[in-house]
Amino acid sequence: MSDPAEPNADPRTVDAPPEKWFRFLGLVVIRKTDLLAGAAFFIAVSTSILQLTSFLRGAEVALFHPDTVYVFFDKNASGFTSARIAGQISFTNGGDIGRNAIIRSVTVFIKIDKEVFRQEWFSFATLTRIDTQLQIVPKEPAHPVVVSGGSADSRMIAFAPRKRDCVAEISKPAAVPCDADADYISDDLFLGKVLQVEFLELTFVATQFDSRKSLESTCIVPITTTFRTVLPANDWIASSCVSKSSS
Amino acid sequence: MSLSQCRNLERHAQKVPTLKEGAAYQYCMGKFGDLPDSAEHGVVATDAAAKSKRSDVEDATAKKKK
Repeated sequence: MSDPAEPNADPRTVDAPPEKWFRFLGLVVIRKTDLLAGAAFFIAVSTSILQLTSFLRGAEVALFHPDTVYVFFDKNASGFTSARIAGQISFTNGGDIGRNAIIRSVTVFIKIDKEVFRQEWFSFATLTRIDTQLQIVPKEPAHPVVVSGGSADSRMIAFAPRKRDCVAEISKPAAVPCDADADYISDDLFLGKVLQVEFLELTFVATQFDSRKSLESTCIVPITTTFRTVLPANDWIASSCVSKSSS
Repeated sequence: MSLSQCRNLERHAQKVPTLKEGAAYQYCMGKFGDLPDSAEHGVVATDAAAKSKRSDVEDATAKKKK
């Protein structure tokens, strides 16, 4: 500091009080002049951290099972009548905007007692009912669904059995005999099995593009007296599907 | 339950006997009685009737020729 009495002293510092400063992360911060710069620095650093966290976290997709499940009998082109499942499946993405997810496929595993039947998503459908007749009209074939970051999507999905890939199973060691048609369950066979149990367990599993993480949601369909009466009478029934955790 | 529903129930009950023990099946039996399997029986009956008519005509023609 120069002496204010000196004639050659800097006129800007003549009456100025000494600058107050402190150390922060090894830097000397002058309180008055660097406050604005410090605020800008803090905002820049915190934003960078948030963006990095968001990038690392990516999309956070959740799958929600349908609250109402439609069980119906459907005759296919070959004349085989199989039991099928349909329901409104919802997806949410808790990731930030721009962190989209793509649902690649959805599968439902139908567990009756100890047997499990698998059905793949087949179409996005429209359901209408006229008296006791249910019409499930395919709107479009099932295709990958984009779930935008911070958003949700919901589809009425009709599931159908598909032939099992026995070639892949044969290549496995000690493989059990493979039945390619094992997931096709006829209407009467389904009724025969369902009448013996108290509930059906449905597990919906979705796979994503660019992610090994699969999504899963399980619910229970109680086999009530109404179920036992209406399904064989109408060839379809709309039944509640209760979350397994809350049942 | 309507007649068509009861017929559908009866159709399944032919292959799933457990259904016959249900209250719905008993109700249908009480309301509509014996439920023939509608479509197939109808076709068979019509066909049988046509055959019998045809044989009647054939018999009459044969008698006339004699």
